[in-house]
Amino acid sequence: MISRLDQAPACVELLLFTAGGIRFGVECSRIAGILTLPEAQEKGLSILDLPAALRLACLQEPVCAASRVIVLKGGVASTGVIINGPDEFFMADAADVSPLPALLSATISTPAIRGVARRGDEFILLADFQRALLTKACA
Amino acid sequence: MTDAPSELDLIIDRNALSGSADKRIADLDEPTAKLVVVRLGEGLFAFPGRQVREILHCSEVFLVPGCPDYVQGIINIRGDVDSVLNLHRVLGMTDAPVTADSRIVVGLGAGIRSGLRVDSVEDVLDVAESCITPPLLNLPEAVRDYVSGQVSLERGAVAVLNLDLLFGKLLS
Repeated sequence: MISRLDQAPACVELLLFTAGGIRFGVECSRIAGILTLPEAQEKGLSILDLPAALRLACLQEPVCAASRVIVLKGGVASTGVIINGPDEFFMADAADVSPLPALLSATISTPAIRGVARRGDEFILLADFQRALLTKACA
Repeated sequence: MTDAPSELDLIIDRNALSGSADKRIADLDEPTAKLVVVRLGEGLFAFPGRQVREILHCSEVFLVPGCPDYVQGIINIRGDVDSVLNLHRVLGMTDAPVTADSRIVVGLGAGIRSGLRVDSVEDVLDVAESCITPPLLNLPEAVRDYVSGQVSLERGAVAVLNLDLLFGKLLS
């Protein structure tokens, strides 16, 4: 019998962006599309800024020409999140992806940061907007 | 036929016996505990050696937003991602900047592993377990919950921190 864990992929594609000097990655398979802000407004999406989406007040950044709206899939399909300058697609090897250390998982104030991907000496925080928004909706 | 021992002989023999009574040979079977002694500000603390995995130079710690202020961030230790705690803040002490002497003590407790930043590692030594006494009752409240004992060394009194208590409290 093959368990769900045995079916975990060998790698995962991430969309990378930077906020507050910190590198974040969002799983591409959970993104329905990337729009400019005017396009997203035209479509009538519910648009959140990053601090609201991640439930982290410290990451407020001004909207600029490089800002884009990533449209989420799943239970929050009509929601978009503004991020500044999504700038790279990165294929992370499964061996380089880790959950947050136990002390951080137990104490972090947001459910939106699921884990960490390592790329050389760099850490990329793995953001899960759906988890944060759906958890907030249930709260 | 030998002469009877003189008074001097008796004195010497008696003193030889009393001297050896004072020079007690250490009991090699007495259990000892290894302690890693660290400095935080003006104070000395120790971790039980069995709870210390390794000691690292302070490398760049990656900040993770949304964590309590005593969580300094995460580091990469040979492919494993570990947390780093600011031990000054955990113990309610005034924070101190990172210097060339600063170290990250990677410890095990309550089933988890984490790094703890300290100002310096002063010593690693073996002490007889009988030398580790119960902690003083007048310890600051922020420290009291994590101290399992204390030991007196030449350089001063050292509070022995128990990582099962420390990590366990932070997890709860």
